[in-house]
Amino acid sequence: MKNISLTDEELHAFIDGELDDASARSVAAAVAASAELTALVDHYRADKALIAGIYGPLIDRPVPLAMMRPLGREKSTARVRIIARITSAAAAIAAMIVVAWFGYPMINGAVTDPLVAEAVAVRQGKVQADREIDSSQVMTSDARNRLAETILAVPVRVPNLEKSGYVLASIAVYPDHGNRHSLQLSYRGRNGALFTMYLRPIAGADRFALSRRGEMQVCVWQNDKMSVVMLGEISAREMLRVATSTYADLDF
Amino acid sequence: MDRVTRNSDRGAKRNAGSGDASKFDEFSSAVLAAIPRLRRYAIALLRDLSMADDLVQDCIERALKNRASLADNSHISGWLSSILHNLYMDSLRQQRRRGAHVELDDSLNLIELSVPAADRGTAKDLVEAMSDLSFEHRQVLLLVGLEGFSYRDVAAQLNIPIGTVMSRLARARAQLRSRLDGETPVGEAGQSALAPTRGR
Repeated sequence: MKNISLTDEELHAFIDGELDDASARSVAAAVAASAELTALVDHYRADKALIAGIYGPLIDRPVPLAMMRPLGREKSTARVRIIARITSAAAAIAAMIVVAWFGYPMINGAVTDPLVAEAVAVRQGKVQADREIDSSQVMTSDARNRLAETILAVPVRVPNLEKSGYVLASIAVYPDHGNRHSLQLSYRGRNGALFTMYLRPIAGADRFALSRRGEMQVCVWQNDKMSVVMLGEISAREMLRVATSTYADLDF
Repeated sequence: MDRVTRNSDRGAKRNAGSGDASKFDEFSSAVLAAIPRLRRYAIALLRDLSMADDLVQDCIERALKNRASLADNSHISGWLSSILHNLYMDSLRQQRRRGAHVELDDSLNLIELSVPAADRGTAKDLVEAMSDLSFEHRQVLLLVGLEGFSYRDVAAQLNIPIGTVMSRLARARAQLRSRLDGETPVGEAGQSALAPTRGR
């Protein structure tokens, strides 16, 4: 067997895929020829995977809204932009007030949250709907609101998100505990993107949480009457914008 | 004609203004998308949620001030990490003067709560072992192993030669392995798992 000189640095570069093809082949051959090196590489690979596995889920921790606040404002001399900024600042302040009102305890991660898991399962079609109603069957706001109130047994309005660029596509009814049903409102954005809102009439601690789950932005809004989970493959900023108008429209 | 020119100027300014606004929106969207990852890295590195959040907050504000220096939003993660490091090094100098101390329990609770119950013992062992490492070693381990940056990117972010990244990483992994094996810390420099150079 050809002798090669192998340093720690080369070994780790091999593990991390940082070597060119020829060097990688050479190191791979040396590793394969040595039980000690094979075990070492396995250990280091396992440690690397461990780091990613243990720290990785931290990415799903809800991001405090205060952290995003600076991104909503920018100094500008253009009048139109000042107005736009004031409007967005006002929306942000409104959101903050609502958040403060609900006293958001952003403690639980979205991944471990059973409510979010339920909403995601519904969105992904893993839960069989009792009934699915196309929006064309309930054209007026009044009809939609009556339908939602009847199903959820909670005074609630179906949010009109057209100003935010989302049109109601369908309303699906799902079985819930205690003979009360839950709803998924499916909206479509201008580019066809799906935005869903899962409404469940359960009492829970007041909370507002914005978090990310892979590509999906998750927003949970809950009070003592109902829980709402909004899901969309959109930016946090967009979610905050839609969530604010949703809250204003839900009126629960 | 003069009027047309003035109108045209105004139009150009308006377009420039809306272009700026659009650039700002793109930039802020890119930052927003990068925050969860940046925050994860800061928590893992600092082992303290409030310290990590303060640092990320400062980082966002610094990024906004210096956004003109970012030529391409696709490089935002590395750019933000670089700002975060610089800010942390500044704060570290102040903390050293004040003798700041991190409670490991906070970090353990935070990370243990983020993983399934079955993995909590492993998480505890890892966090404790990582805490025994120097800051620089944790840094490269997390940047490569958690955030998936290339050696070249890490070198650029930390402003160190790529060879230093490689040697730090090798020492960090060797030290981490020995801690996970239950060995006593051997000092900042650590021991190499392999001899520096060996013939086979």
